[in-house]
Amino acid sequence: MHHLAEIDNISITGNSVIHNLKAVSKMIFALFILISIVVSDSIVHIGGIMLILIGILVFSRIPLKTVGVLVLYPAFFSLVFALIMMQQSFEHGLIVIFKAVGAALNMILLITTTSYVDIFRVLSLFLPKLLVDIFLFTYRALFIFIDQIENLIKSMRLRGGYRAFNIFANLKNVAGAIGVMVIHSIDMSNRMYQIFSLRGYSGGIINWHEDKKFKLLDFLYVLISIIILAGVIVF
Amino acid sequence: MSHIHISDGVISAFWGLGGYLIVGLIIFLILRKVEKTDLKKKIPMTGVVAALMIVGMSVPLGPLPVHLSLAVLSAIIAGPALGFIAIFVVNFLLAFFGHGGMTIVGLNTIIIGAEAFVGSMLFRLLSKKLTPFKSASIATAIGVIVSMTMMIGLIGITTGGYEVFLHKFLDHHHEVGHSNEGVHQNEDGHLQQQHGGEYNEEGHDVKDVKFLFLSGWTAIVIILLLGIFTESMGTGLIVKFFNKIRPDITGESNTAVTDK
Repeated sequence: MHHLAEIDNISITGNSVIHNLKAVSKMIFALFILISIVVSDSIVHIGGIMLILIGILVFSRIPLKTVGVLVLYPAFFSLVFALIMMQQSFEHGLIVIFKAVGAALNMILLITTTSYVDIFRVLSLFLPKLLVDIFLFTYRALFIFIDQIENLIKSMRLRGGYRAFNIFANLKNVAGAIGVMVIHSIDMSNRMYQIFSLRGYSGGIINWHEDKKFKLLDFLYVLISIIILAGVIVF
Repeated sequence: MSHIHISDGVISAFWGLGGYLIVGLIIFLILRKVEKTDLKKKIPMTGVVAALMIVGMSVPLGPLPVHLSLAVLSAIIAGPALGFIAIFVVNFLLAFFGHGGMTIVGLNTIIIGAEAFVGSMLFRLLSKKLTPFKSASIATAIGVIVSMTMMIGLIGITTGGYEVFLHKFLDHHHEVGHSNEGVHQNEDGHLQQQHGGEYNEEGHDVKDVKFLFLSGWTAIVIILLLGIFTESMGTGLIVKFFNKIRPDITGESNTAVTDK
């Protein structure tokens, strides 16, 4: 969960050219790249896309160590599918891993250069407003919980409530810790609703106020993704 | 509990799109109901419950190679409808981190949503006769079994191999070494893939799967039971905790039977 806070910080405090692009253009880019990766069956194509993505990550001054840690998940999860595919050929197995890592790099590029709130704002254009509200409430609550659970686990350890090999005691104490957190969170959500109601909330926190006018760089960024997609389809 | 940590590109776009369409339809119907009823006041709580699921997954449980998902608990607290939306939100946010592909979010939501729905409905039914701890534990166990069955079926249909399940399962339990070992041993040609994505399972031997000192089906069953046990006990204990302090959270104030 530390990654979440770190990524949030990188996306908000980052000040590269990519960070300053419009969220819409970055999301369109991510969509086209994802489609390119999914439809491609060429290791050269996917490898090329990955190199481009890594290049953009470096250009955006995103710490590659953080990216590397995050990419480990899909690399690991795709491993067995890859091993199964390797029965057919080594290349097929490699493609599976490349697809997984490439798609993850693509999403990581998006979230490290675009804040969640901006992503939700774009999503609010075509998703139901109540659903976008839930995304926002989740995002807000998440950071409160991360602090809470860390403190609770620390307290548990200090008081001897967490023993490495006592599964039953651990489960019972962790259940208590989560229980306390849930009770706090329910009170918090009720309070949140009352505050929002007082301010006239009837669904739809986010309004689309961003300047919709694309700049040249936004067009270029989207164009790159279109060229990549076209390249993958044609070649 | 039954996460499909399948990455993008493994399952065909057809299945991914189908999953999204079904989930989209379900969410549309739920939100339409929410708009018309008093459920709107539960919107912040749905977000809170979704956040709780994500945080709950990061809680270490000692030597157990599993984590809680709290899907059933979420549906018990927020109700099965809003619980389903919370599960979609969790899957969507996790996909940004590569924890499951973005194209698989729909299918993943259907499976974990089914677990939450079955679990919460059973909890409602059982809590009239059993203690909250027992009802929550039993309901969660059955919910997890339902979702696991769905997950195995889905992976079998979409990828054509139950080996994927073995991986997924071991994967979920973070037994990297063991799971890889099991699959490595199959690289000697037992498994052959035909064009079109179908697999022959000739000669593949489940006994290759190992967990600790156990192997084969025993290992699979043990790991399965371990996962079900953790999730059901975890949920049961949390519900028991609520029952002592805030029974209104799970609606247990109306039940006659209580935990000691």
